[in-house]
Amino acid sequence: MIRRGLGPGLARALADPYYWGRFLWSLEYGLLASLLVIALALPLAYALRYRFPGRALLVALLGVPFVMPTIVVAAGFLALVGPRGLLGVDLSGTVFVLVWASVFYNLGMAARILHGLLARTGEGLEAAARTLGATPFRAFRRVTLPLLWPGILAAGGLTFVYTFASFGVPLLLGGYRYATLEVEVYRLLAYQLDFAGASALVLWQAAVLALVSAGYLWAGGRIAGGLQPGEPRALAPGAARWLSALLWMGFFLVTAPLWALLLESLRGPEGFGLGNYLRLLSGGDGVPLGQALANTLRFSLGALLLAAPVGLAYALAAARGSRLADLAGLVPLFVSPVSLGVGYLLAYPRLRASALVLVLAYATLAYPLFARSVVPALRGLAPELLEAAATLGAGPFRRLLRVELPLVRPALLSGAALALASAIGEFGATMLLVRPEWTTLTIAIYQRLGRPGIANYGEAMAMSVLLAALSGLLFAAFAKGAELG
Amino acid sequence: MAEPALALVGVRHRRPGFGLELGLEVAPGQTLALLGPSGSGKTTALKIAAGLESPEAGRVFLGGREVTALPPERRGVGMLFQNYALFPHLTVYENIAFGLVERGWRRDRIRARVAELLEKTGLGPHREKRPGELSGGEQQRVALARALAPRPPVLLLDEPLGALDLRLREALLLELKRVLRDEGVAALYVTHDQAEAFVLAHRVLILRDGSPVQEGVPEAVYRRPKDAWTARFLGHKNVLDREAAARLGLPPGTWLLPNAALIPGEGEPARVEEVLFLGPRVGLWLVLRGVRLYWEGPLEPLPQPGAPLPLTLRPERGVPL
Repeated sequence: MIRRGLGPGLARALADPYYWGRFLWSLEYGLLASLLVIALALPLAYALRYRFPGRALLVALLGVPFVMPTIVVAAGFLALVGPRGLLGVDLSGTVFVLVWASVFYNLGMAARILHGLLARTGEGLEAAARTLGATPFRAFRRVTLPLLWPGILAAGGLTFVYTFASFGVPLLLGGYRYATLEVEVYRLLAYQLDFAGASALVLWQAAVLALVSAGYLWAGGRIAGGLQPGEPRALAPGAARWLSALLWMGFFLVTAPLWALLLESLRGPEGFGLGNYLRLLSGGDGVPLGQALANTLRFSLGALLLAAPVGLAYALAAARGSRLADLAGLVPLFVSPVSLGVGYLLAYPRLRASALVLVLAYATLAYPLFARSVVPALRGLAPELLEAAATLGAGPFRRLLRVELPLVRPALLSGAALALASAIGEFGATMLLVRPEWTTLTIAIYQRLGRPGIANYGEAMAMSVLLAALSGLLFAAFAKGAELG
Repeated sequence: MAEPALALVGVRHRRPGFGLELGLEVAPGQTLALLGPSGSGKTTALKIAAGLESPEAGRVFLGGREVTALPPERRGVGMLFQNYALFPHLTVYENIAFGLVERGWRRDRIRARVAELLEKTGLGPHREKRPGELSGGEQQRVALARALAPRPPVLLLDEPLGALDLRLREALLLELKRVLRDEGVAALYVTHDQAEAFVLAHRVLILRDGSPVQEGVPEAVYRRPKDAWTARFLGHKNVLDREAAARLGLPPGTWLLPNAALIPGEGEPARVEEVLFLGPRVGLWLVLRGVRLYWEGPLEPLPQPGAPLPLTLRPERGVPL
């Protein structure tokens, strides 16, 4: 891919004002979203320091958007503010929707990072500043903010990376005007079969992402130690109720597309009811639900079988301090799904005929997620445990089997759930690699959204709800594992 | 008499399962130790004095001026936190200068004051280091210098030696005593360690379950504890209930037998139950007329456990509780 891209492709792309426009827009989109996410996450992180009704549930739900498939979110926005949307206002093709989608995805992640840091900064340091004569504002500016900077950079950087390379939402809602580089790569390949051009854009994009990812990793490294949110502080009952009402209102506002999706899935050509779901069962026009679901499960479970051992090996290497493993951890951040699809097409042209290519692509995207759940658990194990096992006669493999794996079992389950969730919601790479007989749930939804008629629209909504439920279920499994760990 | 440097008047603070009701005064230049077990409310009292918590009722005075409604930054007290609360992003120098910057001191004045404190505390070589690079004792010194830098009239100390090991504690205790005297600052010192309180404070106030039990100069409080709980809390071992007192021929009531009331080496035979060799002194658990008694002091040769040892009882030195 690098060879194809660096050839005539890159020079041509760099000389083309159209691609510069796409590039600048992606940049602008990433920056805008990062700033907004940070601006919202900071007060949210502050609010989470207090005890209020429904706090535990809200904290748990903050992670849900992360596992929502991009096609589901895009369908949700169509359901809310699309041409047929619930609100009756068509906002598709506006910056507003795109930025909202980014906030939907990243706000919870950013708030978690900042809240963890804030809890560690703790009341103690602010109290100390206050006794030394600092007003609350001065204490924030001189103590809290400097300590939060790494978190702000990390959360902002991550938001930028995810937004800059986003695919599903801009593809469905951005139109031609707000296509990101990632969307452009897909179009170049799918409509023009322009491998050189696509590769060039992939490299261009990867360069930016690598730069930001490096910054993110640097900032993340400055957040030394774990982010253990402390005990929430008490608040006067009245204030706690107000805070709760405010935060839950915000939650429903940000996640409104998902609720709209649920409502719209119940509205079919026959009126309000389960019509859309019944039609999915009995066949309908497009790929039947059963077939799409079977494909999705087949590929995802296959990917998990590959991703788990690879991810575990990687996690073990990283937990034992391998520099190489740390570097390898960077790669998935700047290789986007569509780029990965392009890479597989170029590297293994013959694989195109086999569904194995999808399984491989899913596994490549999933194993870092698996590893990321397992590494902290492995690092958290007391070294004395392994030393004790060694003095009792257990060799390295026996120690892994009898001590390490049983102790990190919850993290393994978490990792598996996360990896599976990423695979069943995969969209970007699938779009490039898929063949009609391999149609997955995400592709089936996309196809129905592209067809005319209220029946197709309703079926897409119903299918999205099912996919969202599946993802939510996997997230619950993930959260359970994280809680046990 | 001069206005007290710090006064809490009728302060009340309630939390589920806990209530604090307290009044106290600290004279200028003096140290008052607030002594009590964990959960007795001493840290809460300190936070109320600093303005970090507001009391439900009662008033707080600094130098005769009421400050109950003032936020911490307008009270001008210095506070030493239990875990030091050093700012991890600032150097030693910047930490110490923090409060001076807030008070708007001029640059050269700040530099001079910080240099003075760095020298006094022996932290000069560490001025450009960050807290993470310092040992526990060094961190403690930085926290003290930071709290004292703006020359506060009142210093609040929350178990400042709690996180240090024993040897370091003794050294820092003396240093702390010297610094408090040199700076002429009035101090409220919260601790659960009676030895610390006795060494450092002019007066001690004993707190139990949020209420004051006894106040006075250390010697008086130690020699004449008000009740059995206080006596045990202060480390007295021979607190006798009614029955044990009667067996030893003391008048009816609860009695405290201090060390001086026991004279080993002559008199009635007692049995040695346990021998604790402490170096310069020996601790002995003795049984006399079926009552377990503790004595501590120099004794040679070392008695053997189980052996008899003559013991004279001086009931007139006992303290009624």
